[in-house]
Amino acid sequence: MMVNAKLVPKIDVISEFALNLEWQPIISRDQHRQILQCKKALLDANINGISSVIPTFHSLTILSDAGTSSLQLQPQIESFIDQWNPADVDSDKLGVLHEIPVCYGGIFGPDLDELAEIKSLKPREIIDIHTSVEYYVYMIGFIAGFPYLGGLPEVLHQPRRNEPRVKVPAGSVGIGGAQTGIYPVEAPGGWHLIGRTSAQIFQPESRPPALIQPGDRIRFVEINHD
Amino acid sequence: MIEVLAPGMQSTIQDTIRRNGIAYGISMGGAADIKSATLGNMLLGQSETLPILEIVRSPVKFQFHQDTTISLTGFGMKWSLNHEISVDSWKQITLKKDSILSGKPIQGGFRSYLCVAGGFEAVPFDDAHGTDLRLGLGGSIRALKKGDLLKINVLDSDFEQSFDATENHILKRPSIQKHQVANDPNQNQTKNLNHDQISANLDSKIQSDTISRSSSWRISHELTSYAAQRTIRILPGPELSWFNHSEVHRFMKSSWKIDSKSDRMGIRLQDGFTPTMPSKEMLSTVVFPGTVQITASGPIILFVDAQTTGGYPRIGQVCSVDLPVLAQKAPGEEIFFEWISIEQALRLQESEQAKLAQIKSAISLH
Repeated sequence: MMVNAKLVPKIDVISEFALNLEWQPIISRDQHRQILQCKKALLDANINGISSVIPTFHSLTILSDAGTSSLQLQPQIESFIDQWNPADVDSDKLGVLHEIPVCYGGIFGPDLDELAEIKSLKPREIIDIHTSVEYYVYMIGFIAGFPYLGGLPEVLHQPRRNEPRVKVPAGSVGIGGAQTGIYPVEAPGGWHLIGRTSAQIFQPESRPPALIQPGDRIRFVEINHD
Repeated sequence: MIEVLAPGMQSTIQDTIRRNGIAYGISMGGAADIKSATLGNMLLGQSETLPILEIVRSPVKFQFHQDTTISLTGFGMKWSLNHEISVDSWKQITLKKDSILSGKPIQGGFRSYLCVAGGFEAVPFDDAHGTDLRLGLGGSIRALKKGDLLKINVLDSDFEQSFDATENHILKRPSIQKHQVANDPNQNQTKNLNHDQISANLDSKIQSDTISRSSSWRISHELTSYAAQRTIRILPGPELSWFNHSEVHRFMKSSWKIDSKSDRMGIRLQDGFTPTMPSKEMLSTVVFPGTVQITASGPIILFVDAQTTGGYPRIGQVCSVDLPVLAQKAPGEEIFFEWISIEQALRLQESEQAKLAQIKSAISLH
């Protein structure tokens, strides 16, 4: 895919206050980069009546503010999509790299040994593989501050646990299916927990309240148990 | 200050929806029946966004430690004072210090609202003051417990009370944001309002040792009849075309029963025809309160505290004026779906807002 060839989304009104721009239903960093460029250009265009623009894997959802309806915004969004040019948006400035310190195994990663056994690997190898790559943040959602990450090496893909835990502690780092991620707050969950971070990735008092944003990259860094 | 003698099944402080937080995974939240909450504050002549108490149908009891002007709105509860005098909803009432207000569940409706002049003190979170039960943030932080003390935003600095730092004091004073009170609620409001939205209700005028004053008018029945509505109007959802056409028809013709596992996060439906799950793989996208998802175990209408993204196909979106209707449906009650266009949905929303604006100006004139 040519990074700067303009990809045209489908535009739909999905509620009285929301419009959806939908690109190809694929998980692709190239396409996602352009979706974030589109988001930036849309915010820079200062169209009246937009309260927020939310990126997902393959779409942008545009929320109107209280005084504006989605139908009123539609013509302006359509003409924006016709006119904007990805080449005008500097995509290098779209994300930052976060190093997330993680204590692997032990009480912080109660499923590390079991996962290693299922995978016929040593716990040390799981840690080395997990910390060897950079993960890309596609979107934030599900629960407060939760990043949907792409890039988990296939050797670590593992279906969720048969019995989800009722409480997974905040900061837990886990693997579920083709995804790895961090629980920003205590929540129920079925992922295999391999470690825990002290990084506060959900900060309710801050603006924005989520440390990690779509387009950012994450690298997990092993630290010792203290 | 109001003391919680019996907290009920789930009582939480709520206000308006959060629209900024959704990009960060924060639920929209707010009063489930935003219409009842809005009318409750309007009855007190104050900003519609002041924090109110949402009460899920169950026995509750509150003791007032100061004279307090209140309104009770919503449905599903019969209210009484000091276990003897019945109290009407949808009007303004001033209770004397030491009054005990109790609510008993009755048929018809599921959520009630206790609004106080000045609004409840509430913990701010993001851009609102509602309780997010999952995060334990905002509003009352959690569902109320026996012994909790609810503070009321003071109307006037003369009434400022000393801070009582008891164990049950869940609302921390430093984080309180004072709200602007639009009107002086202590003004005498015994006149009949000559307005079609507010009907005179002279018969139920109460005078007793516990009620010092009760408005002789109330919100008309026409405006509160929505709780009995059983048709839920939905906009076509983004994945509607993923389903088999005739199966969608059967889905729309079904009557649906509200499942007992329903809550502020989602309303589960049972006993109707669920269309076959599409084999197409779905990527997680943004969902809202009112999004109707189809899952293998039946339809779920995501509700006010729903997660912000979801991976089930969206067959429809409940139009915003029907969300308060859903808030009033108890487990076991039946609903039906009906299609609506975005143009019709917006017209309904506009006329609803116009009616509320009329009431607001009628109340502020008196």
